[in-house]
Amino acid sequence: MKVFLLIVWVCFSQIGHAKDKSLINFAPLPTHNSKTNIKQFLSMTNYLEDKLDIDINYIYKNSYTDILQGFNNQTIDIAYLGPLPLVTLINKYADAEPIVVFKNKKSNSYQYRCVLAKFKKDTFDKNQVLKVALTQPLSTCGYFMTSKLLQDKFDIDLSQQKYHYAMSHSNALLAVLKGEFLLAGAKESIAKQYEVLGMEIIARSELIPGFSLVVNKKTLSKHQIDAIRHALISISQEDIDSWEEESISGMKAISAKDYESLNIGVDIPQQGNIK
Amino acid sequence: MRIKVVGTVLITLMLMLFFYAYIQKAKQVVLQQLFNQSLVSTNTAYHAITDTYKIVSERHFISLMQKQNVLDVLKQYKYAAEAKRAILRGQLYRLLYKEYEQLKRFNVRQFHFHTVEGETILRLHNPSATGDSLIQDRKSIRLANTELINVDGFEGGKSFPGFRYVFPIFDKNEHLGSVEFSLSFDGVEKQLQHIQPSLAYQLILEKDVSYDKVFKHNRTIFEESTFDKNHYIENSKISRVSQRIQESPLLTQLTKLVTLSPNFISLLHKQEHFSVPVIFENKGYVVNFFTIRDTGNKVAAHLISFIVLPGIVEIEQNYFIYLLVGWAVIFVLAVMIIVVIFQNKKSKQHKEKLKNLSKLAASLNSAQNLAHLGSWELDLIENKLYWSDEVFSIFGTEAQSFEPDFIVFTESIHPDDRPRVQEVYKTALKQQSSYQVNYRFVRENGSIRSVSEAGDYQFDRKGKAIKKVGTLHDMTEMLAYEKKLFSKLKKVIDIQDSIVVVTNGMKLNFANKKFFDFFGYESLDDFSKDFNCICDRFIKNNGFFYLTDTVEAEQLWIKDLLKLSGRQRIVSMLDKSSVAHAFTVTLNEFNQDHYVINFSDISDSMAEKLQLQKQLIHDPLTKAFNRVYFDKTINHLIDVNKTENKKTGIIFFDIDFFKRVNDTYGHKAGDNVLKKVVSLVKQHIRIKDSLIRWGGEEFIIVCSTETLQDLYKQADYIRSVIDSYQFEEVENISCSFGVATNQEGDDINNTIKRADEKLYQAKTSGRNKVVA
Repeated sequence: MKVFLLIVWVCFSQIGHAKDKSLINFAPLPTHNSKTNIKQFLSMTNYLEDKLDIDINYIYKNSYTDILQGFNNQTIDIAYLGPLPLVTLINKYADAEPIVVFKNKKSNSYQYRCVLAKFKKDTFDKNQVLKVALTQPLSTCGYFMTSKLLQDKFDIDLSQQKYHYAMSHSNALLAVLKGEFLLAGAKESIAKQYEVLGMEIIARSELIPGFSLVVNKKTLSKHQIDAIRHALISISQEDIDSWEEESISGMKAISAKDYESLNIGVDIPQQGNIK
Repeated sequence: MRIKVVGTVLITLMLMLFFYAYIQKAKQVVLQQLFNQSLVSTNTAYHAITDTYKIVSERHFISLMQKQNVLDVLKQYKYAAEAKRAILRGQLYRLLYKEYEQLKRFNVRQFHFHTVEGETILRLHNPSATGDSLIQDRKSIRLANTELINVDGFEGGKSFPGFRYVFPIFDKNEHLGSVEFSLSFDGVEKQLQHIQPSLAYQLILEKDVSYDKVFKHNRTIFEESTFDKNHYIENSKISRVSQRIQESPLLTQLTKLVTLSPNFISLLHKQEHFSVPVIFENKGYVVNFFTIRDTGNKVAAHLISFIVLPGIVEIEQNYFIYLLVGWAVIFVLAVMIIVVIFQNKKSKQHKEKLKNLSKLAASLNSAQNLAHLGSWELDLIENKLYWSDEVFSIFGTEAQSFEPDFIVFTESIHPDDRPRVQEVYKTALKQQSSYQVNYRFVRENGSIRSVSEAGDYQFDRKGKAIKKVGTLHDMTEMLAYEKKLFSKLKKVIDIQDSIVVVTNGMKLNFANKKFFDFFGYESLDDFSKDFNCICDRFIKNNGFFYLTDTVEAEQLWIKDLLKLSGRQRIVSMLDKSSVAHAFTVTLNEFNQDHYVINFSDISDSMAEKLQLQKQLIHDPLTKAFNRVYFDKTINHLIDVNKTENKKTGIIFFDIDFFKRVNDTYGHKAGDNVLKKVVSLVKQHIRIKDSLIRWGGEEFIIVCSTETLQDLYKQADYIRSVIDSYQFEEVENISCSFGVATNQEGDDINNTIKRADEKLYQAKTSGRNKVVA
């Protein structure tokens, strides 16, 4: 009887489990510059390919919305997401699950901040309507954190300003550099890169959990998810240091619970109010 | 000859090899011309594009130099502190980003300002990467800021390798630094495809200008080239060109075939332009490797073009045909040479054979001449007769002076011999056997020659005679010599005491005078009228050779005789007076069929021998057999009696009171009595009975008998004969007898002993009686 029950349990335990895939579709950050993305993740994906004997195919999406759709229609197996898109994804797609969070090399931290930045030569007059360059609607440092910083630090309501989604942190910062916008909301580490171009940070957020790898539990088996997580968290520091990608300096396991603090009700417009 | 053939084969192989090399070389020349055209086109297109971009860059540079605000920022930058420089960089970016957007539309990837020290002021393509020094790594920037000259050419870099155009910047003769416009290969490739379309263009970069040169974090943009691991291409995930090539099965296959071509790697490392022809799925392609040198004139990359070139297939096919034709010609020539070598060898051998044959023919003619032996051949189909020189000579004519004819030949046979000869021919033909016939023929001058002809027929598969071959031996001189010799020999033989004959076993060919004297005949013909053979004169006699009465035996008697040892070859013949004589026979082979047989008369010595034998087994006084005879013959006598189902009887007797005879009348009278008794007994016993003097006056008669009674009667009859006979001097004497028969398996000595005991009984019971 015990044997029969064991067999039944083993059989049923397999039902609903996805089979191991040999080709995994990976969506890096949504950006128009695919080269930047590849540069950022190539070492990691090469490592996973060698370690797990899989092929990783890059799926380029221009927006977080597209990434959410990819999870929904099961064309994306893994995504690299910022905290806000992750929270949004989890709220809309229950089979999305963060497995590792990345440590930023420059900050040497698993957490990061969002900032408001402007060109030093430009004058910030909060009595005038501000032109703000944002990353993407679902970027943590985009509308979500920019509106919070403007509100908290300058008592400015972003919804009343002119804002535009530049679709990336660099683009947002460059838009300010070009003189097209006065302010940019961006990740602190990226904004700091532009300090050599005269950009200055005028407001900083609290620390928030960093970017993570999110897996699609519908397309990947538990076994494969565990294998990927284990492969990433067990990698030696020496190996990570040898990666030519600048921003990653470590990985640790994480779960959806770690992002619950971001689950606040902010109505994020999906489009800017100026072109 | 073997050396010649091997040499020819080796030379042929070498020629084929040379021809192959020549064809390959010629093909390479033609192909190279084709490739050169392709390389020249690529070179032209490449320089057209880079020159065009040079013009574009110069135009933009001139445009830039007209922007005073830009020059002002650069001038301030030159002297500003770092904090100020950051703002100036931002200002410069703000002034020029639109310019950069325009440049990108012209495929300019990098728009880069440097200080006079060669440090980066601003990378429009990567604004946040700044402050780094390029003076050591970038010759173009070094030259522009030290030599103050415009520099262009391909060069590696910290962001990307590219086609560089660097200009020094001046404002009112003050050197403010330099600016660089840099092209991506994707941009160049697009233009190349526009000017000179090909399947694809690819740029493979030397490691030191790509992987080793870029910022460490930029290395992932490269991957090893499939052509060679020491060359890199831009990652297919970054480069549209690389991606397109990797996704093309044809280009992947062509790349693989190129890497498999001989000497490819060494050609690649030679750092010169080269082309690799490829035939894939019966289509011709050429992959050109066009070297691109950097500003230091060092090979930095290879521009590869994949071009469809159908002519390659045609050229390959044409030269393959040339090669086959050439090889075929060389092969045929080689075969012809080998054939000639073989023919020469055969010709030599043939000449040698002919020479030897001529020698042999001459030797044969000489031999035939010496032996007076000619050879001939008659073709029965063509009815053509061939004679050797000696046959002509035998016929008394010059060698080969006329064409011999079989009818003429047969007509020249002596008329007396002709029927016999023709009969021999017919018989041989009928029996399909060889023949030998002696005859005479008449020469044209009338002289007669004696010849011996031997011949044999040859038949076809159906058994039809097609040829007759044979020899003709002129026996004339030999026969004359033999005749002469025989005449002399005959005289010698005639005076022999022995009978000498020459015979084949039946017919007598010769007999000497003694023969005729002994048998009383005048000639052999007379003898042959009465007797077929001399063996008919052998008489049956004990100890002499005699033949059974069959005709076959007559033919075999010589052979039978030859089987006997010399001592046993004794025959007995009756002379003309019917007196038997004994002869020892000596046989000598005269020729194949005939023997010379010598009969030596040994009658006298034979008689002596017989006498000696007689003395040996007889009592010398009485002539009765003695004990020697008994011992030698008794077993034989017993066996003979057994075969006649009779018993061997022993009659033992002695003369009564014989001592009285000797004492009374003397020993001579006694001897006479003994002789007379033997004589009397011999006269009254059967011829096959044997009388043996056993000793003194004792005698034994060995005889055959059916019963003891018969034996008794026989003994008593002899007793009565002796008893009734009147002897001289002694007048009457008597004998006493004891008889016994030899029983089956009984020793004869026991029988004699028993007979002796009976004799004793006869003696003791009154004498002159028989006791059985």
